[in-house]
Amino acid sequence: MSDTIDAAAQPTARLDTLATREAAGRPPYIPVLDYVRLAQGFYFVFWGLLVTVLMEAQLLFLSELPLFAELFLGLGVLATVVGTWRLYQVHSLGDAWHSRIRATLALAGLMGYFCLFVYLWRRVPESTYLLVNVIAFGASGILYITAFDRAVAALAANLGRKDMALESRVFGTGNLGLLLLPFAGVIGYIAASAMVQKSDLLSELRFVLSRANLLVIIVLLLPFSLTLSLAWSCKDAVLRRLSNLDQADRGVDSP
Amino acid sequence: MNGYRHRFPRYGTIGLIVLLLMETAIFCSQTEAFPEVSWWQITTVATPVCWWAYILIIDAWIYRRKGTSLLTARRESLVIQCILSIVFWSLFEAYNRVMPGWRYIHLPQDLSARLLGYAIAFATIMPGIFLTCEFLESYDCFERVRMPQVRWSQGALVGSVVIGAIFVLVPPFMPTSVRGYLWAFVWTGWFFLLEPFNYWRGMPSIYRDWQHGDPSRMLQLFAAGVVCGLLWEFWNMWAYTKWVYVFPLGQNVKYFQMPLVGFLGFLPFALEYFTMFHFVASFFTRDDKLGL
Repeated sequence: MSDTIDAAAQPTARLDTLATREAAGRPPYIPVLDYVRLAQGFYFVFWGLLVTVLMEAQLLFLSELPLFAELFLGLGVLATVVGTWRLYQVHSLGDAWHSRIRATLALAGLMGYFCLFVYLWRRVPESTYLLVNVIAFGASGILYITAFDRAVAALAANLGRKDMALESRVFGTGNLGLLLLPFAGVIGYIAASAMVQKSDLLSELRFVLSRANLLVIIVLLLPFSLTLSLAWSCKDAVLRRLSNLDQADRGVDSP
Repeated sequence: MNGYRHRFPRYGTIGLIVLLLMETAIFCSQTEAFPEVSWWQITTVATPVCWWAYILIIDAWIYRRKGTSLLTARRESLVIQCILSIVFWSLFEAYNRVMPGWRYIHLPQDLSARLLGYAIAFATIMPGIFLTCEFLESYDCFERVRMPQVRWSQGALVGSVVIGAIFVLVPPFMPTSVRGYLWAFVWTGWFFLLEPFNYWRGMPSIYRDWQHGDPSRMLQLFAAGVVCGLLWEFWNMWAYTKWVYVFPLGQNVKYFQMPLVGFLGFLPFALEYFTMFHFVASFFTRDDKLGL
């Protein structure tokens, strides 16, 4: 009889604890499994995004690339999707986190979808239809990292990390200003010059890429690399929390 | 009791009138009737008009039988189906750029008109198939058919994913002369690739139906694929703007303009759209948004 009463009382006690924590302005309770999901998610997103961007840049600039090397693009995108999926499975961080990571997952899905077009375009580079979809792949990637930054801001707020929240907002804005706007501008320029000169998109794209300045590219990719560092520091912060929880369970004082 | 308990909605009548008018225009375009009328200009839009009319008619018929239908009770599902239909078909169009399958003729010169036409036409594919399937289901077609139960092991499901991935990824990488023969793999690959995920995630799944020894949904989808395939080719045959098949297989034995062997592709294609829809839906809801 007493077992039944105790078991029934547990959820109420847990709710009381959550309510007390929220009222006290303390971070919400995050189950250990969610910490594990977060760590795995950020790890996969970091490596996935890194491989994706490196391979996409090579695929755009180099026409001759072994098939084995091309496959790494798919692996990178797959890792990004899997990582985002792991992050999406975390439900204890509130509505803001969940709605933002849901949008991020949708954009990761779009990246996965458009990634197939990249492979098909490599087989028939002169196809304008496929090239437009490759451009959409690039756009979905930029939007993905912007959405990812917004999700990290929600996580940082939950973890009580004001520095990380500020960084994610700055990097997110940087992604919009230094990546999305120039990307839209370049695509607009390519489309306009293709129409004016009555040439095709591919020729114009090749012309623009041949004139690309390395320094400009590095500056443009700066917010992207900062987002990657943010993903890594998120993983570290989560692992540190997990380690502290473990030490608390064993009765060791956390530093 | 004739099984009809509800009135036939007005939009169904409108669809019927539109379809008859377009059929008349198609017929006139192939004869010497009213030569002063430019019939070809009307039959330029034959495919999307016929298909949207078909959707209105069949949805109204379903409403008359069941008292509920996609257009009367699940409009948001229709919108999602239209969007996903365009998205998935765009993928197959991408395959078509790499592997010779079909090509369109007499398309509008204006790019914006062409894109709008593509979108309106591609949006009908998924609702067309699923409504036909729902229509067949409302008549309890294949409901009593049973099959031996299939026991799915994790190995078998992972094997299905691997086979599916090979089927969808390998054909575009094959030599150009071979690609045209590999469409069967593309039409079945997405089913094998995504169906295990629907099974694992508790979504409506053909694999789970097989586990229960119930092939009725699969057979309804097959039948819907065949019905839609017949109609696609029927309405395409005399339209001005249309597609012609260029894959190098069975071009000498045709149904309308479709090589008969290619017709087999409509069966797995319906299953594939069912699986793809539920795969995407599983990321947003665990409800059965099709109700098939």
